[in-house]
Amino acid sequence: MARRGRAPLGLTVPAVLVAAAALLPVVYLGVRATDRGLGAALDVLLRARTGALLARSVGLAVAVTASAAVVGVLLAWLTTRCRLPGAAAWRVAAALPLAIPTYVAGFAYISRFPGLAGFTGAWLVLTLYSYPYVLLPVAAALRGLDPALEEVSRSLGHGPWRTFRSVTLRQLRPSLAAGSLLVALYVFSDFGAVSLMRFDAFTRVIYQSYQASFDRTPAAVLGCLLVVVTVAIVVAEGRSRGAARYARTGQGAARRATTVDLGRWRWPALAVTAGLSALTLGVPGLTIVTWLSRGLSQGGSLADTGRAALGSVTVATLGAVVTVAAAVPVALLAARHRSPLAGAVERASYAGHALPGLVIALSLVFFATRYADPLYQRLPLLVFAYFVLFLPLAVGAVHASAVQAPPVLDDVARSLGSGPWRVLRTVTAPLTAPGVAAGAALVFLTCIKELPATLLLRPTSLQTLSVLVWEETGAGEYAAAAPPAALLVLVAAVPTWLLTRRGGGL
Amino acid sequence: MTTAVRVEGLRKSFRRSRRDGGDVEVLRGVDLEVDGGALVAVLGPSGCGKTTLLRLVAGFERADAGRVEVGGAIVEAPGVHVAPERRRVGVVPQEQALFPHLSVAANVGYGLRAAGRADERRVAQMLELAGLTGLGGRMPHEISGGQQQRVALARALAPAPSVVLLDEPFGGLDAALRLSIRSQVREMLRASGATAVLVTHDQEEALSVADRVAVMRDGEVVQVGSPAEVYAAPADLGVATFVGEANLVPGTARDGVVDTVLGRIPVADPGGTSYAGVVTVVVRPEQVRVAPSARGTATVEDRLYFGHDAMLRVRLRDGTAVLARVARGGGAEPGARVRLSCDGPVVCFPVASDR
Repeated sequence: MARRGRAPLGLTVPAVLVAAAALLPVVYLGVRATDRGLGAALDVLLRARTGALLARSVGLAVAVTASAAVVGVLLAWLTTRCRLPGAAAWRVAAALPLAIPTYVAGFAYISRFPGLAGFTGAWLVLTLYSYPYVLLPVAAALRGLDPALEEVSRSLGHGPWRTFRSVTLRQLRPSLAAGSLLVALYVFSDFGAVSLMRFDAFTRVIYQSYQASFDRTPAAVLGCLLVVVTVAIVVAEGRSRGAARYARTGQGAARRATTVDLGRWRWPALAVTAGLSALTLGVPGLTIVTWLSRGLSQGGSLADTGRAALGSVTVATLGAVVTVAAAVPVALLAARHRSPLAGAVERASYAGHALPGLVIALSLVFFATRYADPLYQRLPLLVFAYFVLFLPLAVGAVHASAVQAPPVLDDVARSLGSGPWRVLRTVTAPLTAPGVAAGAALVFLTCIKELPATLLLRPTSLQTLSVLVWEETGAGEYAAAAPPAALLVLVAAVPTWLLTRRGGGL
Repeated sequence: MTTAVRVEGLRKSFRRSRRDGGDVEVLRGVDLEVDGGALVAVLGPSGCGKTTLLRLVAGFERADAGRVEVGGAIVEAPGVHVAPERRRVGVVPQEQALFPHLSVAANVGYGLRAAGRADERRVAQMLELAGLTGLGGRMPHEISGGQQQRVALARALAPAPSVVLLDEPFGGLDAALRLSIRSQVREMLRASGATAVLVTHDQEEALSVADRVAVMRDGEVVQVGSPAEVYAAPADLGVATFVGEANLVPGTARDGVVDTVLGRIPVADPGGTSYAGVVTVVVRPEQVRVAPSARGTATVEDRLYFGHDAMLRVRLRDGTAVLARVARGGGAEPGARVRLSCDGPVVCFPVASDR
């Protein structure tokens, strides 16, 4: 439902500024990569090791994206469209892995199943904890789907399975594509799982090269290579979406989606749902509880954990508010005004998430130490890193919900005497609020889980849960890492639970 | 009578996609006047620019040239563009576009709240007008398509706009519903004393609902008149064939009559422009008389039976096919030999006069 004609400047200017800000670390990384001349950069790029690294990382991303898409769509359908026993609880359980950081999960798995180290472990952990990126948008789309489409297909002689494939799945394509894209980007960005599973993907290698030498060129060059990979993914996603528009074409308002009675099949369906939750929640839960009881019985203190919790909530709240506010103009522009500029702005906003938090942080450290020393290890720089990193999550959520408020509603509201601001307040905002809230929750959760950028950019006086877990784990103090890890899971789980229970935008 | 809407020389082009290049001129100087309290139908085939005209009057697009007055105030002119919310122009879009997050009553009251007069009595009054009393608490998806249509109109009428614009308001409704909704909408507009412009490609709808019909073609208004005028005295052959069914029969005109295969017929000449020479004659199917006759030279080929009447397709000896509307039972069976004549007067145009 994009509109002909030009987008208003009030939308274009903020959107372009946001996109430019999101691109700043990437651009500066490029500048830094060629700091010692193009020859030095090419030298790093053309090593045989770099090619092997690229192949390994791409292989992992493809494997994880495929399995996460299958798991995400399956669970989305089971939890929204089927009458499962205890459906509400399963809906929460299915979304919860999003709240569990990969370094917590990776630690749980590697400490219980040391044999998983390498590709298998990285693939398993990343799939189990990234599929909600597919599940959440697909579940929302399933709930919003006009049941008449499926009914029409059935009436045209297609069975339920064929209908699911040819109608439902097709309608889900935009959300499935967006979700899969997020999974692929998540894999490329992940540091926790690959480093704990000792799988040499980009982030682990970059981190090692940064640690190993004072020469910043290799880290910067490999970071740039990552950007190239992600831009390729984003372009491919844009092509796959093509000219297809998925707005309803019929008259009036849609009915609510109907649910399917699985009959005998509900027990196998229940087993799948429960088994997956055992893997995603049971295994780490059990590990944390084991270490927690061991630590408390030895008289450990919880004061550090309390301090770190306050720090985490503070930075995550700031990060979520700033990021979602910045995402609104970008998403509205992209959803409502199809133009080369809108497309460029949306794609630019995706670039940040492509870089691992580690590389963003490095770029900002480079930038601050050279140009903005007063900001180095201050809160604004960390919040800026969160904004760059998690803008895609917020834009995706806001964009999906902006489609719920087609421009014709604006036209009607305007003709009824509402100025642009009142239209925004009374029509656009209420209709997009569920998506915006979902975006804010997603960013909040991800900020809390975020490790590398927080580690490098936090003010020295500020402790967070993720850093505490990482530091204690690094020191081999598993019992001391357990309380912040437990709290991390709980703090992140509450908004997920609230949002899923309300069943609105997620 | 005051003029509610005056459109003068309105022009609008849209840019094609960058690959094609060039502009498409959708409106090429549209003139239209709508009297206060009137119901005007803008009738035209799809793509003739009628929806664009509507969007320009509402203020959703800016005109390239020309002016629009609403309620006596200039809202669109070179250098002038009054925002949609200040025009007092109500809109009922084709897809109705009820606010899905608001109840029926809140939808109807939306424009009143915008004007700072959240008046529950007015909402109740509008719901009553729409025959929706008691349904104010429902959500849009909980009411029928016809009810949604009435809510959309009640919402547009509530703030008492200078004019209401309806875009293909009956397009998505089934035939049985369409007829009843059509009269309900007409009644709602009459009862509220509103001025309305409705855009449609359905000539039957335009003729039956509106007080005046403006026929649009290729971005221009080619004729404005009462439904009877537009039907009986079309401005050109294009209008004649678009508005209602027409047989086009060759003829030779002179002295107020025209000679055709249907015989000699008097020529209607409201404008005083009498043609002489070879002309194309517009004969409406209901003007054709069919008389069964064993010595007739025409043959009935097909009959479409409508209940209240029937349409015959009759083949003349020279090969011309003529449509004839005949009263119930008054026709002839397919295959029957008949003799045709014509009830005048008819309209005729010089051959190759236009289109």
